[in-house]
Amino acid sequence: MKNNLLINIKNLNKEYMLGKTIIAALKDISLNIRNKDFAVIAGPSGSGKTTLLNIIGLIDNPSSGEIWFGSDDVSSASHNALFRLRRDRLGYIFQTFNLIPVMSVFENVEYPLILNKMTQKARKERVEQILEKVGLWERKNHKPLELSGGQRQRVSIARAIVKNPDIVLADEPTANLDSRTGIEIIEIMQKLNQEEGVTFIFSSHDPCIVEQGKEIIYLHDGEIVKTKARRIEQ
Amino acid sequence: MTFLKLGFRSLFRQKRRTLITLLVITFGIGCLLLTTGHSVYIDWVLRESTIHSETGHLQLFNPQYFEQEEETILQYSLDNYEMIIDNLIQLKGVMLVQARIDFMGLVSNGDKSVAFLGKGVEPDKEKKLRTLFGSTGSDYNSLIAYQPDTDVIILGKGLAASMDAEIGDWLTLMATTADGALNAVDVKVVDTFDGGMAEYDKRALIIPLKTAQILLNSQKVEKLLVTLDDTENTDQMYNRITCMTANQDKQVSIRKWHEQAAYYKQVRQFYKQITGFLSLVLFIIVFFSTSNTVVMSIVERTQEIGTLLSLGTSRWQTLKMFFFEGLLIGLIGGLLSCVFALGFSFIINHFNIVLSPPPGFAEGYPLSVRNQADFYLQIFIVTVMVAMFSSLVPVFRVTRMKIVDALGHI
Repeated sequence: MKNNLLINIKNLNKEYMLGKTIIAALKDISLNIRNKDFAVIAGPSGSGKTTLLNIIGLIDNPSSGEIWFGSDDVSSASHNALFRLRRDRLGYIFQTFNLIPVMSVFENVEYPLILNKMTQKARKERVEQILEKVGLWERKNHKPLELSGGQRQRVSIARAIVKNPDIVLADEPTANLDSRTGIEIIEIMQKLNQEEGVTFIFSSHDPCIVEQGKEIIYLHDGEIVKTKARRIEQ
Repeated sequence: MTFLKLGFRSLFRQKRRTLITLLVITFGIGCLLLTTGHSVYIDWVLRESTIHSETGHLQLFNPQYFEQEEETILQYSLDNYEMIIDNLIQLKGVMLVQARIDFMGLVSNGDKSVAFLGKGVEPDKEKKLRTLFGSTGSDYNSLIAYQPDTDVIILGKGLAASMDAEIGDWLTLMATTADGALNAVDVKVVDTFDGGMAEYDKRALIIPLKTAQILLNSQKVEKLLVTLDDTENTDQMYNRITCMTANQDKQVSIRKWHEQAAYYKQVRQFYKQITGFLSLVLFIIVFFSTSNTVVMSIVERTQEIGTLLSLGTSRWQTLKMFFFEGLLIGLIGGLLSCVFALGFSFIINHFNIVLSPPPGFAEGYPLSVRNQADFYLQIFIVTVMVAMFSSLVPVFRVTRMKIVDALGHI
């Protein structure tokens, strides 16, 4: 079980300066994320969900505490080491999709593979495989603005998982979607988790979405107030 | 390749803004190319007309001419000039060798005496010298027509007016001879000429070389002018003639045309300064215009930059993408500028526009543009470089932003 540990967070704190006032966004967070987890960080607005995801995703720095990626302490890693971790081991799904508007669906999904210096032939095969999985192969030549919100988020998922990252982080992935599409997106993520073994951590304040998580971490005012593990029927 | 493609596509994301930037570059650099082309034309015309009227490509003097002050006219002059002419004219690439004497004195119509600046010339060779650069050399037709008569003169229009002299009138020229005495000859006015500058025109006269030698009581000449088939061969021929004359008993001092063309150098310097200043101003405009486009683009795309960085794009790759945008703006703008300048220069040259005379000049000059490939290439390269580097500072700043701040940028 110990070998299964993907991320280990110890006594993490994050403070912001708001004018002259120090705001504690995260307080003494300790957390383990294991391989193939499907974890959701739940909590009301302002509870610190996004801050925690940003720190786990190595796009923000903690004020104190430790973050271990496997056996690597990334809380004191160099800029280049963080860049390589983001490129090779992390995938992101954003609330506002954040697709590159001048690229087609195919190119958006292909982009992380280019950064990983994969050959063109291998890239084409991999992108085709992923777009088939999220049901968007037919739309591969469309630009993001020509897609619906749900389709854009599926492209975003495809882009996040195409390079086989260790973990995919999704900040409120359904917040900009209607409830039915939101559920569809979570179902795609669940399917990828179950079939491909992709590890997901996502945040949400929507109870219908939260209850889809296998592990639920409840945050309130920057503190973990409760964690819950749930058995999913296969 | 991916980043070049991304840069290219991003360039046309805000079509209107990119178009305005390209228009600024096109008009700014296009106008600079036209101004430079006009300056090159002025330089070329001034150079060739100076050579083909005043200096020739090379001038041969008595070596002492530049070393000591003459006490009397033609004291340090060339006495065996006809032999030198015969030798030089044999050289391949030498079109013409002619003798000249510049002198001063008084011209009188009986009622009035005026100081003059005179030239003693070989009229047929002077005409040929001018025809080598497309001029008719018609000022010398009258002197040629009267050959072998020596008692003829052509006057600058200003001097003719000052002396109230008309064609057919007789005037008296007075000057100090080579041995220091005073001498005078009577000459018949056979024509007038336009001396170019009004002040010079009021003092200028030209007589046949033989007449000048009679007046100055000498068989010598002040200098020889050597005219070549191509100005580019000046240095090569200078070396050749230097070697050729080095072993002769009577040595000569050789000067290149630009050493004897003070006026040309001043005008050239003047145009270089104007063009240089204009270039600086226009390149600053291009720099800030491109920089503005890139800054606006960066501000709008800060969140996108955050996304690219979070996906694992390095700061260098992000920088490269915007660098390519600047490069493409520079390339497209530079090319359009060249097309604009070539088109307009064709139109300008086609219409034969004549500008009003500059201060001190009697005639206007044509507004023509001489397009030179090396200038186009230089300005094109500088435009591309300026456009490229104007994007670097703002991009560098944004790639130093924290990813989380860039992602949260609205």
